[in-house]
Amino acid sequence: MHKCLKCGKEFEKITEKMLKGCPECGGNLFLYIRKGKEASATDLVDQLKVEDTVPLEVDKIESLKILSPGIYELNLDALLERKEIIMKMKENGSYVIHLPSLFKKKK
Amino acid sequence: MKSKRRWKSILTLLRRALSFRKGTAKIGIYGPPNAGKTTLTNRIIHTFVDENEDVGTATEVPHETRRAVRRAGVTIDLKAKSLENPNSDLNSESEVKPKRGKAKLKLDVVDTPGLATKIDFHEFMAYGLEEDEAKRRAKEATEGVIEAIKWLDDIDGIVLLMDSTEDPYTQTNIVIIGNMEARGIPIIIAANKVDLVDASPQRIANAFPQHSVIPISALKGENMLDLYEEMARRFR
Repeated sequence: MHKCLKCGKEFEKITEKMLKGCPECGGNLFLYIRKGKEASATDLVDQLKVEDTVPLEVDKIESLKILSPGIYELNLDALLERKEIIMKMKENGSYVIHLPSLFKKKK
Repeated sequence: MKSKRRWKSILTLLRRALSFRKGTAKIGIYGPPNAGKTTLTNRIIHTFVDENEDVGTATEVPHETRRAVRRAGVTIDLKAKSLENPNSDLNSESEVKPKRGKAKLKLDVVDTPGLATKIDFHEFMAYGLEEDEAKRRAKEATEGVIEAIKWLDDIDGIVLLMDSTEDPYTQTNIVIIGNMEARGIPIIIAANKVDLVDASPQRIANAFPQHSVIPISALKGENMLDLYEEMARRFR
């Protein structure tokens, strides 16, 4: 079942006319409703199941990315937070750790 | 990470409480490229050290300063300066009413390379540089940003310079301010280039209401006294 969100008219099937808008009011937003009952927002929320924990986006570890010779992207957050400088070479996944920056003695 | 930051901040505050007043404060001039850092540093040196001494060359090409330059032993002595030139507003070329200050501060000034999140050699080619030269400059500028950030470990206070004609809500400004707040390093924001018609220092003040924002023109010398007084007050 398809319901026009503007006038509320319900349609069993999508017809060619509906591709240009609701035949009743011209509205172009439709909600698909499963057969049986009209879905309400509350029902939809209740139906949601959190089965898997969403993986957290891993912090970007590189402080410097070399996109191509002469084009550099700096991660100021990483540079400010980390002692060591980690460089990412292009997008091929290879990293270089600048060891002198890691072993530098604190003044 | 947060507790580490907090400890760092407490340690910095303690270190400053114990040693700040007896010695010379190391003050870094930070900001995005072309904000006027070298012009401001030169202005400070010209006013309080030697009017013929420059720490660097200020140009319109971004990343002109690619190494941090430290000028040690600068004494901002507003009382002496106002006695020396009672009718001047500290080198101001503007028609500002002369003021007299009394503040005094001994400092080392560090002019730093402009902080940026992306450096692209094409930017330099737009200023007429050859490709090889532009790439070399991009590499040096990148090293410069890293150097400027590493200098922060050794700095007692920063003057964060922003261009009043530009949008202050940049990643660079927000990251630097957030990090300095976490480290407990005092910041003064100088809203530079107020001599330009499209300057809006108020936009900077609205963006960072928790910090002192001093509108200045480092090039024309406008409102410098307010900046020096604020420096003496915050960094002493």
